[in-house]
Amino acid sequence: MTDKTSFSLTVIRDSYPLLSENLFKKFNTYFLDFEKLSSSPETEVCIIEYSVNSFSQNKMERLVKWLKGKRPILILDKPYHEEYVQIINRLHPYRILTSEKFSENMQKILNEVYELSDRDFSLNEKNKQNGEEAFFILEDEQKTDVKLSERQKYLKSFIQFLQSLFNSHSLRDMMVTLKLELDRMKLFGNPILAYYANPTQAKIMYFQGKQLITKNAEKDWFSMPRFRFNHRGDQEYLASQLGRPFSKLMTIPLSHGVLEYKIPPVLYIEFLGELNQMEKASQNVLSQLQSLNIVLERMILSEQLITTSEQWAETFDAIREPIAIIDNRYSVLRSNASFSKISNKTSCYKRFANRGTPCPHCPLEQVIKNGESTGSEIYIGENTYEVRSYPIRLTDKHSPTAFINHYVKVTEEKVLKGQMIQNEKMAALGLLAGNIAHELNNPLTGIRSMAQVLLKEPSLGTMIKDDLVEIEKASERSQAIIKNLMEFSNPESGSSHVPVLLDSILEKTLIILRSALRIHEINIEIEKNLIIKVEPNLMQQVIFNLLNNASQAMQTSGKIWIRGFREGDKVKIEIEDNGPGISKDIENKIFDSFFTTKKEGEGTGLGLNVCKSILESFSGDLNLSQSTKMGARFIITLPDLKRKNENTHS
Amino acid sequence: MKILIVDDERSIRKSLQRVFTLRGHTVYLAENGTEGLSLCKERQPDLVLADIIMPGMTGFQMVQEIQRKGKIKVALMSAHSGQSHEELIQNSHVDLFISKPFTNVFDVADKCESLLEV
Repeated sequence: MTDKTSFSLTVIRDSYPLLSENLFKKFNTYFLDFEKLSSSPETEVCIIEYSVNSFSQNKMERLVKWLKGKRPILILDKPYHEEYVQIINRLHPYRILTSEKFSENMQKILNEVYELSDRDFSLNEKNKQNGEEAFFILEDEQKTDVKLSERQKYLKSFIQFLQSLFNSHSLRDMMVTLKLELDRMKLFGNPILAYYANPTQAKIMYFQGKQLITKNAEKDWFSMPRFRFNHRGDQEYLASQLGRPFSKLMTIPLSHGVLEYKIPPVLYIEFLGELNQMEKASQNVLSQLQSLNIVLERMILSEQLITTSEQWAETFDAIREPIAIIDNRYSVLRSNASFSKISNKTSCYKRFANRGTPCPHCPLEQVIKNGESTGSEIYIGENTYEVRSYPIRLTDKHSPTAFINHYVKVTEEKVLKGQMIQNEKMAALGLLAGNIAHELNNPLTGIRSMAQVLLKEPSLGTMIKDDLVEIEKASERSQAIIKNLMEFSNPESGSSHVPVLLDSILEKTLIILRSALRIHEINIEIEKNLIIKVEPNLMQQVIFNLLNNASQAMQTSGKIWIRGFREGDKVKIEIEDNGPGISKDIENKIFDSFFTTKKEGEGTGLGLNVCKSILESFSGDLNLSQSTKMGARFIITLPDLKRKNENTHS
Repeated sequence: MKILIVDDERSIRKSLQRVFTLRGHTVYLAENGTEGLSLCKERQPDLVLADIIMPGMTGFQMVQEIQRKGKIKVALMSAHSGQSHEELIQNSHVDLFISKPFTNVFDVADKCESLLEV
């Protein structure tokens, strides 16, 4: 912007001149005395010096008359005096300054004022507008390109301010509008608003440059019902919240209206003029700020509602379990994020369960009928949900039209419960097994003893003798099984592990199983001198179990392979059959206690679990290595006892 | 010698009876403690071989009663482990514990006979 010096300038001097003539060397200046105010050449910018001491009503009226509505720059001798109020109101200057201030910024001020007065229409009485007519002018402006007087421009901008204010959609809008107006007035800094957005959160809204920032207020501001200046508490408060000192501070408490949150909001505005002008200048602002109150109330209320609403929505969505509010025809009115990501309104059974009709066991019908909250279980796919339906009742008389459905996934719970029950069953069974075992000992002892006695009979046929031996051995094995079972349910000190040849154990077992295995073809491939450290009876039991299972798996004649070999530092024993194999869905369960595929009474299903435990107690393992429709293969792994240099692997 | 066998399991009674009879002893049988007591009074056996766990009176209780009436050798059969029984031997004059299940009926007979030889 180039410095303008060509415009005509009139300086009306006071009895004690405040400005030196040197200032105006560059300009086309007329210096006038009050006394000599008469009609003068048209001037573009007018500067009036005014000292308080020389105030008189008369003087003022003459000035007003002479000005004919033109707006001057007013140079005052003091920063503030109460008499100035009248003068300011009457003369309506563009700028009010002390002489020092003016001298410092003269060119700038003159440029600005010249711009403002560039188009000047003399204001006569007729054109003294009130708000309505000014508004009317605003409309016409577009059509006729009417030039406005300063007063009109002022009114225009004030009305625009009001309009923006009332059109504010948010506190932010309102604050920006206010800032613009305060900027225009030039005497004020940016506004700062302290308010409660919701019952627990106080906020401060302030400008940093052109940016409007909202932050949480760390403590409450002073609350007093009246307007005040330079209140120390306020200054300290803002300093603490915004991190810079504040002075010449206006505090404008705003009323609250409907919402009673702790303390009412407060507007702080810094005054940029001289300290003693502050009070008066602010009176002007206040009249404009009256409208602010109404708007503010509305804004805060709306913001509080939005925050509360957002908070509610956040809470609603934060609940992990699906919740839906449905009507009595299963339509979803509202739901949280867990319920469904789809936003189309459809029925709950479509969105949640992916079904075309209501879920079986849905409690809704019942709730509608008897009006009380009801729960039941529904099944969706692999999952089980417990649904609780709560009726929303607006009054006691009307039947509910909306219901809150709360879904809790109980699938895992159910599984766990099932497992717990299973565990208890197993524990009970274990106890029972222990008892039974105990009971069985007696008759078994008797059988064995009888067999022993019979064997002492003279002149027994070989056949009978052999069979009696079998009876005795079988009962011996039975006793061993029972002993193992009792140890299993009540483990005491283990029996001793001794090194034995795999061959011998196998042999003994095969003898016992001879009749059962008779119909199958048995293939044995065992390396020589395989030694394992086991409790012989238990080991026998393991092999017995596996062979027995293999045999029973094949209803008709089949093949069984028994292999024993070394692999690394382990001894492996494979028992394979060509039966139907073990189906995939039970493959994982076969080593569970009490698992059995046999019918009631055919077996306790203790077999594989016990076998695995026994082998583990020998530092070994039992695994199903292969199961197809061509058969099953179990592998026993045990530590190899033979030292490496004695390895005679062939 | 006269031997009284008290056990609620028939096959055990029978097998023990066979063995002792084979060896020339006279055997009396009882199913439970009460029967055992009355047979004891009646027959005055040299040895009582009894199970501990029986319905009604246990072997121990029976033995208490017997000892009051005279000096008879007592052997008890038990399914439980030995330690607590060591104490009981001192306290209640049980002469021999045989653990059940026993592996050989003839061993049992041997042990009983050695009691009687003393």
